[in-house]
Amino acid sequence: MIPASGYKGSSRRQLRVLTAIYTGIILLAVVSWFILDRAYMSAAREAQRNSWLQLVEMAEVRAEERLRAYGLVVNALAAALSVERALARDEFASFADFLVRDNPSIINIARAQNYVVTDVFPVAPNSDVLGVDFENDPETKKAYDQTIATGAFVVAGPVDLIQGGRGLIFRIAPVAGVNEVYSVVVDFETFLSDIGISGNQPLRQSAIRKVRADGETVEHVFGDPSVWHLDPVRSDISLGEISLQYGLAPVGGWSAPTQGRQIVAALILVLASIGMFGVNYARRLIKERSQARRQLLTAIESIKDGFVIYDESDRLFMCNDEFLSYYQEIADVIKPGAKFEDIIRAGVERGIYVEAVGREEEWIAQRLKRHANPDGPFEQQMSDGRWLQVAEAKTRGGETVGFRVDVTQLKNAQRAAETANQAKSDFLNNISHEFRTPLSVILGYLSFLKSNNVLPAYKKLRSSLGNDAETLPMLEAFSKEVQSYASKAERSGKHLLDLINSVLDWAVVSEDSVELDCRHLNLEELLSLLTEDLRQKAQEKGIELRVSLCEVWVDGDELRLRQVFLNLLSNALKFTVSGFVSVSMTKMADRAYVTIQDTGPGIPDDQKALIFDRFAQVDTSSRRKHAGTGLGLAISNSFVKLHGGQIDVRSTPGEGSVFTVELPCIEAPDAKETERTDGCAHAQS
Amino acid sequence: MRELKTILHVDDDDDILDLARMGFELDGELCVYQCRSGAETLVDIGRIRPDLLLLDVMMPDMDGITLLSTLRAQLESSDHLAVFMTGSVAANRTDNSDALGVIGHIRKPFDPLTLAPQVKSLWIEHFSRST
Repeated sequence: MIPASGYKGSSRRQLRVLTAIYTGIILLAVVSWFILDRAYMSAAREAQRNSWLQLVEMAEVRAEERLRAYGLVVNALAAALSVERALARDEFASFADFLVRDNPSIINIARAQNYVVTDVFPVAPNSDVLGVDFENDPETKKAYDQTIATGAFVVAGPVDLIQGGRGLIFRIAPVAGVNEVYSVVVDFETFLSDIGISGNQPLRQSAIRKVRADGETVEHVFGDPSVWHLDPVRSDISLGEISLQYGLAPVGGWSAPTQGRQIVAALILVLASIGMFGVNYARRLIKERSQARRQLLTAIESIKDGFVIYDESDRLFMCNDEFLSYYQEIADVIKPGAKFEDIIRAGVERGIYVEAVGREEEWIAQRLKRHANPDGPFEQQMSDGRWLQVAEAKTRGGETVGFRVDVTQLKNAQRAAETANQAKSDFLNNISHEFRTPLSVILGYLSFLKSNNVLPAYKKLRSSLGNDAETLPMLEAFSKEVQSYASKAERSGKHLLDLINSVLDWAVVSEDSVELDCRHLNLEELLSLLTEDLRQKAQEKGIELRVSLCEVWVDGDELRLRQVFLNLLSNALKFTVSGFVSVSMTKMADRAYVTIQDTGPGIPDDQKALIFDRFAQVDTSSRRKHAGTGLGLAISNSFVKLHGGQIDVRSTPGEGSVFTVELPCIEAPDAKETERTDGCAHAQS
Repeated sequence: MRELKTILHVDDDDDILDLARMGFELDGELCVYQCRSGAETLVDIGRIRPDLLLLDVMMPDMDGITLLSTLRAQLESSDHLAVFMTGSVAANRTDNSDALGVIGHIRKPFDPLTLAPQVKSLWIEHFSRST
């Protein structure tokens, strides 16, 4: 088989491609899930961090507000005290009380002179501080010196306080160079809680550490130091040289909400499933298509006839092995894509088409035309003795589909039958000729015997007898007797001749080789002459012959039509014992009807269909009585059919039969035109 | 119209030749020569110079039509008129007989007593048609 291009292995390749697509989809899904999940995670974390960053920044802002407020308190204190430097303890207390009232986070306000705390408010909880000399505390002394040296606002802490707890200390020396330092101590825990930082929260972990301006951590001051390992959001609360760094991180580290991740995963899963389903669907379609295609190809291959398809540009698309086997000599040319014309040209060159030999170009042109406009099957004789029946058809798409059927056997049988038939016809022709020649001799001599009185020998004998009254009648009697016997012999001889003629006619009719010699024919004249010829015979049998004719012209073969009507009339006369035989004619539109009626034995209904068959006679036992071949009606029927007419029969057994011959008629020729009448001229005898 | 005087009858059957001869003899007006084959005819025709050929269609060796064509080719003359005697209906349909100078057909079996009148009437008919 020469399959359609790309057939072999194409389904396997498609499956491979599909597998690759599956794998691709899975890979794509995994990779995109990975990337999207990561992206989602980082985005979610970023959003969380941002919102947390706001928290810490708010804490920073609040811290700065507080710091500013404490600064104001310290400044106000310093400003007030700068007016009255030696502020009495009571006055200091009442003033401090005024400042502290609105700032519950302030643990105390104190004044130290020459490193010794001289005043503190409120006194009661801070009595431990009063009188403390920081000269011996190098760190605090250093802070004091710095404060005094700069005259600026210095924040220190958080530090463990003498009175307990931890605190931030805001110091200022209002007069530069004078060892007098005012300080406000703020409770660190309260400060943190004021700016919104608390240690115990279920989800958040906070931590605070002191860092220097260069970023180095000085000291951890609050919360769980492990926060710093969790990449916390952070903000710096500046305390001058150092800062308090606030870090905030979720408990257990940063994490995105699992719900979002599930949605991403589900989405990817759904998309991948849709992709897989789509590919699977496509795969099934492809599989079904290729299966259908394979079935079709298998079917085509199983056909025991040649099958071929040419595409719309007349190039070979595919063919089966049977087709190739029919055209083995040009199998090398029959390739997909080969042009139809090239294929047949190759065939013609190699002489595989018997018909094309000697008229190659003409044959190719004819074949191409036929191929372009297929019109029913035709036969092709091949050089190997084969006969192929070629059937071609155009599809709607413009392709040409062709079948090649090996009809060699059929053709041989047909030829054998034709030969046999021809042999039979030849035989009948020869035999009837061979019969006719001796019959001619017999009938010829009988003719002399019938008219023996014209023979020279008779005349001689008669003249030698003279007028002998005795012998002359004897001679006459002898002559009469010979005439009578000769007549009887001649009748049989003519009957034999009729039989021979019938057989010959039948042979001609049976091989459909009758050629009508048609000319304009006056049917009235023909029937009139015929009935005249038969009138004597009718009178001899005592049968009335009724004739009613009108002018009808037909385009017909005189000899054959005469034979038809002679046969019908002879039959009528032959089978009718008493009564009449009538011949009548009518004309309706373009049909002429000749009716021959008799009062014979009639034909039973079940025999009517058979009487036009060859060798049929109703009463086989009467065949002897009514000599005939039984071919007459069959021959007549064939002749009438050849004229485009038909013979119809109606019959009532015991009463008689009516045969109606229907023939197409024509207008009377011009010469007779003026005399034409529609009515019938009746004649009777 | 030419007068019909000499007839050359060709048939392969002796009995038919006898019958025809008897028929013509009874009539007594025509001079009839007879040949038994085409070959004999080709030899004798120059000597006999018949007005009309009466030819059997089916003969062994050379049939009537071939004989007539050969005669016309050989003598290079077209004035040989012929009547065919034929056994079958089909036979008188197949020819291009007019071109060969065939003026009529007589069907076998023929009536020897009316053979001479038949031939004469075909002769007259032919010349009345052609004039």
